[in-house]
Amino acid sequence: MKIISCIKQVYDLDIVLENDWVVDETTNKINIDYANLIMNPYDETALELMLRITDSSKDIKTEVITIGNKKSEAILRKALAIGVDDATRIEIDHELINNPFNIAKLLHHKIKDDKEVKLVLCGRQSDIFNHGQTGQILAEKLGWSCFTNVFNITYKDSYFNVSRTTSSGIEHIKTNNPLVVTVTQSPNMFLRMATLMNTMKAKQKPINFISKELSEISEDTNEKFYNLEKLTVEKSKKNCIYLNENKNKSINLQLSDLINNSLNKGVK
Amino acid sequence: MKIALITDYNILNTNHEINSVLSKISNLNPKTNNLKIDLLYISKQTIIKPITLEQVNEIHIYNQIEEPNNISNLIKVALHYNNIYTPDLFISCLKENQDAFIPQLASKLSIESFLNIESIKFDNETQKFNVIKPIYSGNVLGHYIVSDRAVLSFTKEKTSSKLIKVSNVPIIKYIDYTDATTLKDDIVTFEKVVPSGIKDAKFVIVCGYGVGSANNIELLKDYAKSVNAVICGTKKVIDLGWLPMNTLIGTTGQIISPDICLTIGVSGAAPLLNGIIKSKLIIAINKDKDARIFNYADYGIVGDYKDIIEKEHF
Repeated sequence: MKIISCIKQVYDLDIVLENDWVVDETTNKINIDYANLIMNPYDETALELMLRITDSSKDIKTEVITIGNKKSEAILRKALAIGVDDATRIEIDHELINNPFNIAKLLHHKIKDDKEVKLVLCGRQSDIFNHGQTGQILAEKLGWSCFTNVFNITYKDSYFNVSRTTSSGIEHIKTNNPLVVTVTQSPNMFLRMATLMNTMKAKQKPINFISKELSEISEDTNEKFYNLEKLTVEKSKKNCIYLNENKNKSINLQLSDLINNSLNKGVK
Repeated sequence: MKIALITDYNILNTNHEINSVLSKISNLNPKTNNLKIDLLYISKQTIIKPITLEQVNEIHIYNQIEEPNNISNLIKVALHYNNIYTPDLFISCLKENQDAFIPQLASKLSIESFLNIESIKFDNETQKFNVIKPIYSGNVLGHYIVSDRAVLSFTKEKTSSKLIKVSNVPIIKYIDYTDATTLKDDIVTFEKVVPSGIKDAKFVIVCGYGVGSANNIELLKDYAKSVNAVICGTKKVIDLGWLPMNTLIGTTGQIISPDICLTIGVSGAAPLLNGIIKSKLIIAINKDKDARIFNYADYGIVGDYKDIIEKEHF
């Protein structure tokens, strides 16, 4: 049996400064190129879930796939260093990467002929365009079950036990059908660290490379999809009133007064 | 142009979710732009009384479906409707599995799909829909032009409970749809989580990583009890397991609009800000005077929260 985890390299948006969220009118883009390239946090959780499955059952093969340029091999090396067996990179024209239909098509093409694969893990969404649909479209193309917002998955006696959040509670599913899951954040599920030795070894490991034009894979074109007209930044900043310690009133009194007043009034 | 609204909420109740979707559709000016709105109602229930719903022209009731929230059944029903009416826009308003349903239906029909959009407009000249959706983790709004047809859903948010205006009695059609499947040998158990009460709370305290430890959160819970507030957390806090998953605030968690939102040790990442920005009053406590949260707060206190919140709790 084999498990595949789909990972993506993204910009670390957390370190982008507030004032840098400015739309460049001529290119209709936002320049955040200085941000670090990291593995998408949801994909990290998905990868850790995959590795925890193989911790208990050693005979399961694992693979990571990424779609992107040569730079994105960095996250594949990272995955190899923490114990993933195989890594594959699929090349894509950079303009086409932000359409989940394209991504799902390429993944489907890679996965469909591999009869060994029983489980595919994806992060629930990734950086820039936040479509959050790749996993679901992939599941539809493969004809497999799809579970979204998964926070835990284990494998026992040829059954997968999937736990996912829904709007009214937690659902536990026991299944032995092939499935695609999209992973959301999960408590205490941080990606393990690689040892220096394994990091060195991972540098020598081969990375499979696939370069296919989308038109070779399928005939229906989704090129016109996601026609981004413009970007806007519309967060109304407020003038923050700072509370300070003063003689008449201590700061915690000021705070509790503020809270009580607005609760009584209902609205400010 | 035709719009199909898919729902499994009980439409006899004046329901917040449908209300909020209908009020967002009203931006399209259905009357002047000559848009027809159909409501697909999917349920086990067989008969409903004529009801009044603003803007909706027809209600199609797909009944006798044993598992109405099974995704493959929902897709079958949507495809069945699509074969007859071919709507230009599907809008989903489902209780569960919305994020799985939309992309899968779009993929089946080879049309565009958008999850969690903020608003929608209709351009009468080009006869195209314009969709506005948060991107870059909510830092930026993207304006998309829908090329042809699309499936989409709105962000779920609490709306003011204004009543639906009595303006229109839609035609009701019953469709006996019997091709539904009861699915698979999967064993599904459901564990109901006690609602955290965040959505309806008047006073919410959001804890960030700056709170320091799980132990400190326990102390803050005491404080919250004394002021009748609900405790919830940022992504980082949930990741560390300091608070349960259903208390997550932000784009991927819950979007709230309480009377008071007090943030403690929150730096103010965009996904979180999107979750709290609609609060009527935001008070921020943070040690770092340059923290981003202060740009969006009404009141700010620079300092250690342990010195600020009433002493008896620490």
